[in-house]
Amino acid sequence: MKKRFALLIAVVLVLVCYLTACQSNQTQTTPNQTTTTVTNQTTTAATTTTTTAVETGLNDPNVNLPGTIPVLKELTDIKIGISADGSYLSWTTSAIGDWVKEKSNVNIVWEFFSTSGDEARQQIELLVASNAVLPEIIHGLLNDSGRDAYGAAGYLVELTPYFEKQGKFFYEAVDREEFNLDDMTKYAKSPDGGLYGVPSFGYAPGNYYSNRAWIATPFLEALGMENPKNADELYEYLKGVKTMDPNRNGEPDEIGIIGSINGWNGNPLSWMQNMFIYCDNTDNRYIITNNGELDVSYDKPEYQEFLKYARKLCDEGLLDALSFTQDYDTYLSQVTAPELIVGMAISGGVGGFADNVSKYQAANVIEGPNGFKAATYSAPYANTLSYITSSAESPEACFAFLMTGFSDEKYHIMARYGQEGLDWAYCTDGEKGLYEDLGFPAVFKWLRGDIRKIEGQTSVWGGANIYTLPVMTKNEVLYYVDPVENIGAAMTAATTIAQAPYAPQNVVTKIIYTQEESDKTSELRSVLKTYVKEARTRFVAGDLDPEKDWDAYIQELNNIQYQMILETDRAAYHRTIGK
Amino acid sequence: MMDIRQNSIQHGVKKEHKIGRSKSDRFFYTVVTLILGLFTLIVTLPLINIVAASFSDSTAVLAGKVTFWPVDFTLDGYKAVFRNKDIGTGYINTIIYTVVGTLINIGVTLVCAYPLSRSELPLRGAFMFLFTFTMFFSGGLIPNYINIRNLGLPDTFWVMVIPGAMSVYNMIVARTFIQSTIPNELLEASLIDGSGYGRFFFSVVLPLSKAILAVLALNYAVGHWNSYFGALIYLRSRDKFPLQIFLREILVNNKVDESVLMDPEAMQIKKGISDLLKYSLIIVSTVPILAFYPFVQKYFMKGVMIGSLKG
Amino acid sequence: MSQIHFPTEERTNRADRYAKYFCRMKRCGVLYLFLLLPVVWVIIFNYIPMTGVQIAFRKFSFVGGIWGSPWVGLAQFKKFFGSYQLSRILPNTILLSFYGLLAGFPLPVLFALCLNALEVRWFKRSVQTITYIPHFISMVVLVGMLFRIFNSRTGLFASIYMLIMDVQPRDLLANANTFRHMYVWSGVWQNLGWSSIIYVAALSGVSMELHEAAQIDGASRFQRVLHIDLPTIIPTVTIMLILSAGGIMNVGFEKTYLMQNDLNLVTSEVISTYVFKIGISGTTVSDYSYSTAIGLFNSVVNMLMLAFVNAIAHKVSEVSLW
Repeated sequence: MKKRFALLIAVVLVLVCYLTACQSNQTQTTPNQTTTTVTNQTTTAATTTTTTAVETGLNDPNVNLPGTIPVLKELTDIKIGISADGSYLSWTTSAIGDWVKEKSNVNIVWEFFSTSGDEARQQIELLVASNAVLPEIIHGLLNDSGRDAYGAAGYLVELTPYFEKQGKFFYEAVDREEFNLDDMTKYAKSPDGGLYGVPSFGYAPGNYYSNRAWIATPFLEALGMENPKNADELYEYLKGVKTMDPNRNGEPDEIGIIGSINGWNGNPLSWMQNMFIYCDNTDNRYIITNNGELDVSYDKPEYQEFLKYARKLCDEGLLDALSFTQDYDTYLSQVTAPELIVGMAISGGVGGFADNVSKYQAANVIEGPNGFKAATYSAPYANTLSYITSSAESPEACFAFLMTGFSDEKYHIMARYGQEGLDWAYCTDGEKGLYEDLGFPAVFKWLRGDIRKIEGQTSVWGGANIYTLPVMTKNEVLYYVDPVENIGAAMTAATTIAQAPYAPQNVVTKIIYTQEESDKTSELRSVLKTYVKEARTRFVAGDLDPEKDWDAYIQELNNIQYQMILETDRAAYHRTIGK
Repeated sequence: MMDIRQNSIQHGVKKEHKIGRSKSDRFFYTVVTLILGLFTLIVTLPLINIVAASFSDSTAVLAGKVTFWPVDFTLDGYKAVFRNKDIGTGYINTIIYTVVGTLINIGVTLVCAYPLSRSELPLRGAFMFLFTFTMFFSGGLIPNYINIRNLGLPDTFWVMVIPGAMSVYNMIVARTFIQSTIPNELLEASLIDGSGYGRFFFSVVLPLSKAILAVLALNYAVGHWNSYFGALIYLRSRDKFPLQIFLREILVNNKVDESVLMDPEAMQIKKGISDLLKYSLIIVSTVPILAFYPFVQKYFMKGVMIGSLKG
Repeated sequence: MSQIHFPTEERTNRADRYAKYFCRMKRCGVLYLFLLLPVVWVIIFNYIPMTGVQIAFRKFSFVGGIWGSPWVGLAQFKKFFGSYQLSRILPNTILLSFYGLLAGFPLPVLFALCLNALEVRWFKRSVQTITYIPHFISMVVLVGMLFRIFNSRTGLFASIYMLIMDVQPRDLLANANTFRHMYVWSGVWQNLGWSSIIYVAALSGVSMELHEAAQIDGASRFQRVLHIDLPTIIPTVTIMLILSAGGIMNVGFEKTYLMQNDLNLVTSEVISTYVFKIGISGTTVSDYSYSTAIGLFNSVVNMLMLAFVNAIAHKVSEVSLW
């Protein structure tokens, strides 16, 4: 018995040892791409050709002189990783696909990843971690921290030298669209200074003003009031909504201000804070002081004023406490009630308002009791969209391919709107663009509605990223829609135009942290964010009193070392903007 | 005593011999029936709500008008699912994975549970520890992924059924079942007759384990049917994807992702379908399993041991 | 009828000894043959990758991979224990789990016993078939339903409450105290039917003759349940209890995250949601080392808990895992 036992154990041990030894031999080897530093780059791409094309100055003879169409000499296969968004799968040809193939001489071989962003990132992470073969190009799929980590580890090709040699189309596109080159590249870089992807940018001001409120027009009329412009008028309006039965049904069923916890920008407090002190679009609550310094808003006396005001509204039932617990669906169920009951709805858009959408109008930017007024503004910047991986056979060819989207302004028009004459046409009858008041006249108009919504269309690739290839474009402000048919788009444009004058001159676009800064502060930063948000809600609708518990709150902030985090952020901010 | 018992056995094997219900028995039955009935009601009502919502117009669902009957009947939610041509492939793949996978599961589980149910087996404790340890400690996602890759399994049929061949949890449950319901006397009788442990397994244990086989089959089949994550990371070819992957694709495709800046128009249309889909997806992915259930149910509702003991 | 004798099923000593003798005669080698396949499988698919758990003691970076990343010893664990919110998330996790166990463990057993005791077949089968369905509802839908029903203005609960009390109820979803109750009891609703299946299956092995004999002796239905049915499934119940104890640190991420809001965060922030939030605001793609370290900590606690309950079970009854 004992012998058999020993034998069994021995066998098991040997098995384990052998297989583990096998395992450890497959150590992670860094991929053959030598990158990581910005200076002295050498493109040691996996080239097999020995003859260098003298006229292009590039290693891959298949690549044409930058600025030429088609970008490659011969039809080449390139494997591209992309999210399995319906459109790419249901048909293999599309008008835009044909156009790209003709202009680039590239036969795209799609490699699909999960449609869910998180899962796709997980899939790529596993491929990287196990040193497997990646697609040659990746579209989207990565977030900033992923890009930074893979880039630093050498799995993504650093592109600065490629821009220098082959970036002609890109620079031409930036010029053509009148964008600032610095803005288009500065924020796309990684903490180590490297540029690991090709930036892409579509100017869409409708997305830059995110805190929006919608006010019920029938209620204003019933109460004989105008769209409130300051805190007093707002208070009067809400009081009227709650007490004077504006929907005239004899029931006290009206609701003042209501939002949701998971709707897009559905938190009423973020919208309201702008009456007292600027509220930024992230949870960091940054403000830029008058002397250009970075600061936070949540420890200031103005912030405390704001909390007291909001608390008063909440206690009187004018601000609905359910905003802080209900989900977007429940919020919508109240907004879409057949008898109008919501006086002021807080959400980023009017999607889902159904039949009640015409009963709402954009609320004004409201001036607080101390005369402050602002609109939350997210400064736009170009971020990386497409990446060339270390598994690329010819990074030069891949890079040349990625320039195709910049080569011709027709690309971003066709990719977004479809085929000229079939899906869109140039405006001719002086149609007024939605953003004309911001200085953007209408240039295109849809002939059969938004191409993305049309079943079975074969004009565009569709997908979450409508442009697919990196572009520089202003399309989103240049198209015309009928404001009555597309009331949602019209309302968005209306609030954008109303809020534009009140966006602060100086906002934080983006802060790029180094690895050490990140490591040092990531946990406390997360705790801080959570706590500030939690405290804000509890001050207004919960168990904290803005007067009595303020000092304890500041004490807690100090425990979380918010000053230390702020100092770190300041240093990083100055480094990012280069001042 | 013996005579009376035999009499009642003769008459009462199929039906419980009605000696006459006492008052306390009637009270017991009433209370139990009421409680169970109430609980069943609490379960049924929300379920009916889900079914009704899957057939209702999305704005009605949002407005909260749907209670127990569809409002503005529509098949849009189902159309959004079945319009996708991959669904057929998904169903077939999942059925194959489930059938083959469950068979493998049951085989490996029983083959493992049986020896461990014998308390006379030397080193039984050591083996139990070997298996139980893996319930708690695992290398994590990346080492497992590398391991599977080294074995050449990714993107094959086998990766869906071999790495998960046995759930230690289920094995323990099976072991307990065998231990407590198969009496030792049967083993003794079998050993005396000259057959060994092996023969005993096939001739006695298996036939008497119908109930636990049914439970195992149900557990494993449901696991395979709902499996998603393994396919997500180990499969590449779309023609091997199971149903859940395609269903999730549809859901995410129609979900409004705020990180992707889209105009409110597109958002609104997508939101409508997305809401409906939540419900119709549950129905689509659950109904087949529900259909499977009654077949297994009869195995664990009542009496399997009758007649096995003599005297 | 003062004493009713309920014969119990026990492994007789004689049969036991015979089996042991048989085995010592080297006739149980075939059992090892049976075990060969599972053992090989568990080594290949579980123990080999298990060596990767050492990443919890390193600082993972993509450059080095698992074997090449720098060694940092217990740094990840120290980081976890130095977490700012540890005093909130650790008790929350454990309390939520215990509460869930207390409510969620006995009820399926009772349910199975009651179900088994009934006689009307169609009723039994339909109750069983209906009650296990909620198990298949996805978490998103479940929480959505919960939000809808308990919305203090538009929900079903509010309507009923107003009928009786004439005023709107407190917002149950906004309360840190009610969070635990909502979480646990919605879980009971969802899983009771499914969890009871194993007990119903175990009860199918109850000897009919025992019931016949007890009936003749005059035992009431209730007494029969208590003295025949229950002891028969005690081994199964015990093992299930031990296994449940081994899951004490596993508070599901998805459901908790969906049910969280600012006003109940005091009780709803658990380890998994906290780690997730740090991961999002964090640095590298996923701090793999950190999450592995926390997972390891959870596993150790789970294992200790299981061993503890197992030891108690071993002392009190004969049933235990090892």
